Amino acid sequence: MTLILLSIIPLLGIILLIPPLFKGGRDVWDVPEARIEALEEKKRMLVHAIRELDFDFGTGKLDVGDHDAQRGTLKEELAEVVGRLKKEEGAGG
Amino acid sequence: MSFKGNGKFVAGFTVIVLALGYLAFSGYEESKAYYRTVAEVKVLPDDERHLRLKVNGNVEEGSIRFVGDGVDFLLIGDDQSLPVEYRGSDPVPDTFRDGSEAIVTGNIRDDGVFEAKKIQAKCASKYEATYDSEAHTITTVEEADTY
Amino acid sequence: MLELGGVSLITLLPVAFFGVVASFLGGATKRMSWVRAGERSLAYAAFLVTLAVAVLVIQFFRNDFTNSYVANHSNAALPLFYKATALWAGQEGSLLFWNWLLSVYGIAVLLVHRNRNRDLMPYVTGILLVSVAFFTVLNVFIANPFRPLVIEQASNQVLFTPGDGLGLNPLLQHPVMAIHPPTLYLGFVGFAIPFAFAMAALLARSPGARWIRLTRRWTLLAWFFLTTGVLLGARWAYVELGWGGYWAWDPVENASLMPWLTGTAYLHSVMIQERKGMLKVWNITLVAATYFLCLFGTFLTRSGVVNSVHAFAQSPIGAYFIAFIVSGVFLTVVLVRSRREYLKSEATFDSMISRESTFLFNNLILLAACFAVLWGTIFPVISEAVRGEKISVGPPFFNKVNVPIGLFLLFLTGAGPLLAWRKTSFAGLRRNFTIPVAAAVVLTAALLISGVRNGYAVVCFALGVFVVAGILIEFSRGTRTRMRQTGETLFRALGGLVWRNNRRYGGYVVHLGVVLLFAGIAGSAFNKDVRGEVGEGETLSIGDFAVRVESIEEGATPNYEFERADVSLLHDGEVIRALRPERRFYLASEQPSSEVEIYSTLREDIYVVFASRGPAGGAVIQIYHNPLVKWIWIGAIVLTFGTIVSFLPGGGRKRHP
Repeated sequence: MTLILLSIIPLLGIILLIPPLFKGGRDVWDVPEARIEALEEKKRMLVHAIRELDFDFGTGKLDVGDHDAQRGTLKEELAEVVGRLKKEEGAGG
Repeated sequence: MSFKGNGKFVAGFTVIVLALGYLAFSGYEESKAYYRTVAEVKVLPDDERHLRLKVNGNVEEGSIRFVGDGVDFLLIGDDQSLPVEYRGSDPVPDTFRDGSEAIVTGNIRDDGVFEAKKIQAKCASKYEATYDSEAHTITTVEEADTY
Repeated sequence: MLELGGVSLITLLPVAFFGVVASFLGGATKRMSWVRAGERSLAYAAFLVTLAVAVLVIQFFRNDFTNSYVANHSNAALPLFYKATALWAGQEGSLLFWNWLLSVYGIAVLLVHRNRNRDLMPYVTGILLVSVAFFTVLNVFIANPFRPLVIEQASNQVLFTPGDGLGLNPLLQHPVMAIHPPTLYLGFVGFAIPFAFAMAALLARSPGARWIRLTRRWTLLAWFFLTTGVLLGARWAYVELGWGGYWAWDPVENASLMPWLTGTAYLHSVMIQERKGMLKVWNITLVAATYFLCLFGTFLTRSGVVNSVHAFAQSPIGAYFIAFIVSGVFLTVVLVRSRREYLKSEATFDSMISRESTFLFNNLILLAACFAVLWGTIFPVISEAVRGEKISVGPPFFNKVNVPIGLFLLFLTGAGPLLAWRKTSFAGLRRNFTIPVAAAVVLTAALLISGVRNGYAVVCFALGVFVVAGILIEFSRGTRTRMRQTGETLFRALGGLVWRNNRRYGGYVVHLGVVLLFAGIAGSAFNKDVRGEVGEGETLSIGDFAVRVESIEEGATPNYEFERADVSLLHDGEVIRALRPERRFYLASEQPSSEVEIYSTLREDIYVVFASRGPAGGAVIQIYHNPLVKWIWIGAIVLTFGTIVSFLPGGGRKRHP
């Protein structure tokens, strides 16, 4: 009796784990394209950086000179990344 | 990491690492202790008598004597016994008692007495002890059952 | 019952291995059928471990001493609460407990992330299951918690059921000790998640910081538990071990500190990757190091490789851990090397005087601390292997290295937030540093004038004020700006500011907690103690305080016998508190234990120990005078609160304060 009850545990495992293998054939999912993902990442990073820069300037932690100089560079980089992203997406269809 | 061409970082890190290395070495020199068995301590060569030692053994049953705010006892190892005097600043650990396994840290005196600065102790009936390896525990349990 | 537990563990073994294979195949072939089978394996594994844990707990509750683990770690008279905590009192149970936490974490991760990040999840599942499989192997083959109690009788193995168990180690019969191990384990196990995601990102060739963003909360959660676990351990040592201190650089303590150091370094260095796309290899290295140190910590606590008073165990389990850790490190290195092209840095360091360079120094110094602690901890093993001579190092080694490291870290804690990213101009430096530096100078002068002569302590307090001033300025600037912009009242503006930017301001609160904690530790520079035999009616004094023994009582409970000194604590001759330090003798485990009494104020702790009965029949009383200790626990609470603030969802998307 105990033996039968105990054998439920491994049997349940087989019932749960094996059938899914025979269901559904090739269910390929979308993988973000590495190059595009990298650009998206960079864009997100720069937007975040500009936001934080403005925040620090807003509270008076940064002075005008530091803020403007950095914001300029970040803006330029962002424009470039956005441009490349548009081109990639256009090319990718 | 990329410090290429950035000597200042490397210089800063080097200074820190060297300073810490020096501190580590002096701390090591100050606190190193050599593991020795009771038998080895009994016949310690002269050039090792000044070393701080760590000796492992068992506290002989009935040998513990509280003296003032310290304690004297015999440490047994390799069938030999080592007299130990403890006058450290911390209270003797709870686990220190007859038969317990103890590690004493300190120096050997010229009269052959070990002057302990620190005692660590583990109970003989250890927490991981199992019934099959601890014959005496079983007897106590069985006695408790019959009485 | 034993069979039920045993069968669940044995079934767990093929389930975990099958899940590993299915998940990795699913990730590589991108077939949902394999992926689902992997996920179900993790789910079923979690069910099986839960079943095993439930069986063991029930056996403890029912005093089922047929199980040798129960017989060795419990007894009938043990309070119910401690019967539940006895689950992790020994090696077998704590490995099972580890596995249980890991599989429960695994289920949580699946539920949260399963439907997005399809490319990463199969690998995450697989990697978590590798650890599950490892702990299952240990539980099944070396440290099985479901072994019947067998004794040898006339050279036959006979089943044996004792009338009562050996009892729980009295040191573990303390409320703090009941929550310390699970908290620490939640931290140890929690770092499996960011590690699994980092490896998954490499395997799936996912560039960038997506894995870091996905695991930010999980990492913070693990760090939260690890920090709390370490501090609870210190608290337990302080109130329970009876030697007046909270940290002895014991291997078991070091085991929990090392992953904390690398984990803290990781929390800071990911910000550089998120902000500048740098240090990608470094972050993976740190998170892997942290997880492996967590495993190493478990190994140190459970194997007794380095002699330690409270590393209870000694078993062949060490070889398995070392093999697992070494192969894990090897595979990580291989994987990182094969993915070099995804890990190129996108920027360089611009200036020494910038936020990122303070993070970098913070990383270096935390790692140096970790390395020193590791070195000191395993030095007996190393020296024996290299020179054939077992040499140990003591607290002076650890203190000499770590005190200056701690102070430098404290300085960086203050300076970092005041510096801008990339570079800071001289005007910027003056704008942000003037007040904090002035505050530090004023405090230093005040301390020196009032006669404080301990160099490290003065530096620590001065740096503490420097950090606090910087944090207060940050809060007040942000709040004022918000009041101006939104017209809110002071408290609404402060609340809104923190809520909108919870990650940043939560971090500041954590820093505040760290300062308080450091101040409490610096208090130890002024510790004093005294010991002596005191008869009834006599007193023993230390500074302005004294202890008068009123009476010495004896008594018993079903669990232990006790001797108690009823003493009065006097301050300047006035009685301020009655204290009752106790010595107990636990009956089942035949172990003595001291119960200390602590009179604790914000200024100082008076810590009273009933050390022993003296030769003249009086009580040998030891009194420790420990200034500022309470600030450690207050700092711990502030730190915990700050971590929770930065963990909350918040509203970090708004542009304005």
